[in-house]
Amino acid sequence: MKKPIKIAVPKGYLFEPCVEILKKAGYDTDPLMVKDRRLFIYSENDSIQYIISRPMDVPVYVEYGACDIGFSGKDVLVEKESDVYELMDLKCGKCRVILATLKNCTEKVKEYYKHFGSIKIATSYPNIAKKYFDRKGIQVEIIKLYGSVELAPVMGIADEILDLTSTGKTLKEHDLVEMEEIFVSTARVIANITSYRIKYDRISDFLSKIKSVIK
Amino acid sequence: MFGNKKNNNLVKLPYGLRDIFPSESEERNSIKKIIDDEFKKWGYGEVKTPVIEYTKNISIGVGRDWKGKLISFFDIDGSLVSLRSDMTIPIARLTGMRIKKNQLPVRFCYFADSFRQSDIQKGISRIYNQAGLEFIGSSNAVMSDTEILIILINILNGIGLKEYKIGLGHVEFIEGLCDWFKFILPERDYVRKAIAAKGFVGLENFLKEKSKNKAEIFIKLMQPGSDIKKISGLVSKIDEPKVTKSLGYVKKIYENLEELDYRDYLLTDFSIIRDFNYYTGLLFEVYYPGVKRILSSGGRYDGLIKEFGLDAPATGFALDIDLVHKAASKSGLKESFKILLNCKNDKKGIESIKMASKLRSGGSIVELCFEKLPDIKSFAKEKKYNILAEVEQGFKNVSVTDLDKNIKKTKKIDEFIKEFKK
Repeated sequence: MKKPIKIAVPKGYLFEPCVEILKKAGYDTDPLMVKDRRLFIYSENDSIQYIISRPMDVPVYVEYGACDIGFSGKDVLVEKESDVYELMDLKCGKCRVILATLKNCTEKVKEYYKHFGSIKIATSYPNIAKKYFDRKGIQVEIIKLYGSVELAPVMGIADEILDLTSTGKTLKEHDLVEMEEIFVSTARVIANITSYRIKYDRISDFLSKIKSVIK
Repeated sequence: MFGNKKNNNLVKLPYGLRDIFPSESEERNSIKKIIDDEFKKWGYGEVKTPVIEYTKNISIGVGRDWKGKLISFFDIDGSLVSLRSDMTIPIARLTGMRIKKNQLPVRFCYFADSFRQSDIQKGISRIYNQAGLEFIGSSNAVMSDTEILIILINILNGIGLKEYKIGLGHVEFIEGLCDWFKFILPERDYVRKAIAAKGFVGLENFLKEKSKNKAEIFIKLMQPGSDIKKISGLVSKIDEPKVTKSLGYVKKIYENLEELDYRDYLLTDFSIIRDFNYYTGLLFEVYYPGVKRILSSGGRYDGLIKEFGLDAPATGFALDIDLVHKAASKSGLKESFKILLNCKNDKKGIESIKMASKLRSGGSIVELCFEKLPDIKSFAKEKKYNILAEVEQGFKNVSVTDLDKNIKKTKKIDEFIKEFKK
């Protein structure tokens, strides 16, 4: 009997690409495809315990050792700055972290900044936003939202948003235009620092299987 | 929602600090005792240094990023002082100031709290309760490093931990690999930072731009392994003195410990980088499943004490008592037998104290209860007493309730004392 390993899989847009990679790598993903609300899923064949969690919580579960490995977007890793190993780029789930503002408003925002010396940024990534603007030397007021960030400029509570985009469709629908790309994010494999040493044989076996199917 | 406290008088502690209650304290002390016994057996003597030191002294040998981690303030004369952030630097200071060359080698150990600034939002502890040792001034590096690792293994085994692993690495290994790539300073900085941040994806991409073949070997060498021969095979392709030398050193330590049958506890890990700049040779860390951070870490720091005036090589390690306590799942700690003696009879108060002393002579813990409690039995149960003893009128008989078995009996006082006096 192999010792089970625990893997954190994020809900949301990364779920399917991650499961797809697991499947290609030869893992039994049928238990993951059962459509119910279970958050603990045990795969008997591979002796893997899957934990389905919110994307922002994946690095937390891995950091604290509740999971040995996790799949996480780079955006979340940069935001959380968790103490975990970032071991592999899955090169899927690609999207961009960008700054956007309402169409025809770019000049207005500049003017506003000149006048008041500060702009309001709505985002779900307050840490990234703070670091980014600190580096640029721009004063900002950060408004943390838990979703639908693109509403904020429309509703008039923020001048700009810092958010994730893949196709740009949502931006367009809300009359927003991209101003700057901050970085490109893809899904990564992360590992807990003690598991990485203690269960290295299993983790490295997992990594080499995954590696053979990406690109 | 949060209840109503009178006058909004909410008492708080500064963040990242906490209080410790008796039950936890008792367990921690029994762990400390195991550590202390082992230290003593090898001839290590305890030193104590002040919690506060001059910032300029205490920042010698720490990394650039570490200075932000010191908790500093101004002394009455305006000089900048800090709480110590570890014990190695204060002990290096003590040695440099007060030990003469002809007194070497010295073996020091300590049990102390150190303080480090942390991110207020993450709520990480700012206090570190550590036990550790420093072996200073031995000319035999391999044997002194071997000695402290044996002590560490004895302690971990003594506490009853089983699944731990000790990762062995070396400061110069990554330096040597950078020589191999012919990196300039900013590139070396990048590599060190990427490894410290555990970002292997970024590191691999960076190295691949320089040389694809070399990058593959570099990444492979950064992986933990239990087979040192595998690494030797990879390293044979790299003709760099620092790489060969540092691997050779780790190999010697590994073989020494292997000879003592400690192989199962060991792995090699050349990705180990410590926050402190003072390390010059061997590095090691202890990992334990389910414990978030590193249980213990240490290594060789040959240049540090020189900064304080005495040129002496040194090696040492520190154990984080908080984490060791978490790892030790009760660790078979023997709990003492506890008796609650009810002495509500005011006139016979001193008689009760005398009786308690007799009971204690057998090693039991006896707490006196002077209060008139409505339900003393559930109070005693709550506080995990084994026996509740209530002296009856006339001070001849005592009614004894065995709280584990829930049996009540009346006994003569003399007989009751006899039972526990052994």
